[in-house]
Amino acid sequence: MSAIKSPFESHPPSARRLLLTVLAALMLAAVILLTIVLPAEYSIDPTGIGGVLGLKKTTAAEQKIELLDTLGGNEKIDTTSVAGGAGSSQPIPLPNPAVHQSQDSAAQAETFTITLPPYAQTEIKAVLKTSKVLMYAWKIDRGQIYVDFHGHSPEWTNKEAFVRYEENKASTGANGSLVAAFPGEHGWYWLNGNAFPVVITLTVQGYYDKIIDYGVSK
Amino acid sequence: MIVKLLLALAGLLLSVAGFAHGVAANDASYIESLKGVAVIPYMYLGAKHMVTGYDHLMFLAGVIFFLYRFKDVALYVSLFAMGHSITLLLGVLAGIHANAHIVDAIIGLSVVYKAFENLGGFRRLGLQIDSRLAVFLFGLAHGFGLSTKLQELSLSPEGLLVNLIGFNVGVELGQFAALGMLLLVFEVWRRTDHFIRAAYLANTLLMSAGLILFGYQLAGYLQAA
Repeated sequence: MSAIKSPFESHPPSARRLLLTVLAALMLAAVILLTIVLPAEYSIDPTGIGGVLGLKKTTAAEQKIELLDTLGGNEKIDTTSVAGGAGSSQPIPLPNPAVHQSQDSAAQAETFTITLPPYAQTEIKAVLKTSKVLMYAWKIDRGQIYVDFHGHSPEWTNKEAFVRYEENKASTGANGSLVAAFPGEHGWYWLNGNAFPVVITLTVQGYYDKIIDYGVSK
Repeated sequence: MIVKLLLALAGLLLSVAGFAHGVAANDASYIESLKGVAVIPYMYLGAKHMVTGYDHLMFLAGVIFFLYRFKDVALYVSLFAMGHSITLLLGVLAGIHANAHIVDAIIGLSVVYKAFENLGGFRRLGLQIDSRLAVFLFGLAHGFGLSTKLQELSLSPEGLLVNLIGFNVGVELGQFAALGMLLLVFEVWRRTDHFIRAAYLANTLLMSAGLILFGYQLAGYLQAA
């Protein structure tokens, strides 16, 4: 039946010897598990010997946590392994560390005040590289205004990106943030549909290259 | 002579134990960064996993412990390779998620089983177990272990099949390398005067090591649950 040529198979040990062997193996395993492996790996130390040996908590149990891996509002649940977990003194490494970016210089901040005559339009754009962050707040002094918050590639043709973030036909202002999904100009087109002039106050902050003010036109 | 060999073996086991189990952390992030077909890196990682995976090595050592003829070694190792290839590929491709602790606990039991068989335990109990079938079945368990660990990583779906086959080929190559070293050690060891007595002790220790693996993984499972 079996091709194995164990000498102990042709001459098996006596039942007593086999029992003693298995018991010895079990005992040895139990001793090593309880005094060394479990204290070191899981901080389970029923005998206290692991603690005496300094093995306890050399590594805390590994935990898995789920977290949002967010980049530019693209939310994907990712899991990551953490040694120690909640009680750990060490922070948790993110599966996608690119959610953090270090910059060469401080963020810029500017405020624009634009007076838009009746039925006039204007456009203000921030030039952003991929993944750069822009924070903005704008409001108007009276009435409501058409706004198209959008972005496009700098030298845009039909093939390149031209995307809308938000359109509002009757807005009084907006606050928010943007992470550029592609390099290019990202900003606002406003059209004043009122018979009276409207003053737009826009504040932008972030890691943009520059702001392009396209000026007011009818 | 025996003492020296045992010390050398113990040293080898201790040095690989540092890698812990599965795919080492820096390899894991490397695998995750790979996009598209990357056969050679996957092959290398498969080979490394086998050469540094002490649970696979212990089982392999148990399997070839009393195999004197090359034909038998080839047969048993092929059965083992066939078993773990099936579950490695199917597990990842079909996305079968097994609990890593349970799979590793079963792998620990495979070591216990093999050592007990080597000791003539089943023969004494009057049990007739086809060891070829057993090696094949435990091969399935070992492959499941590999696929479970690979699935813990976020693998790029691009070129996944080709990469997996590369990983699998690497596992086989690593197994050949490990097998070569083991066979060499056994060849020398078997020629020593007290081999039979040492073999009994070694298999008892192997059984104990399998039990430790089993207990370790079971505790891990209970703690995670």
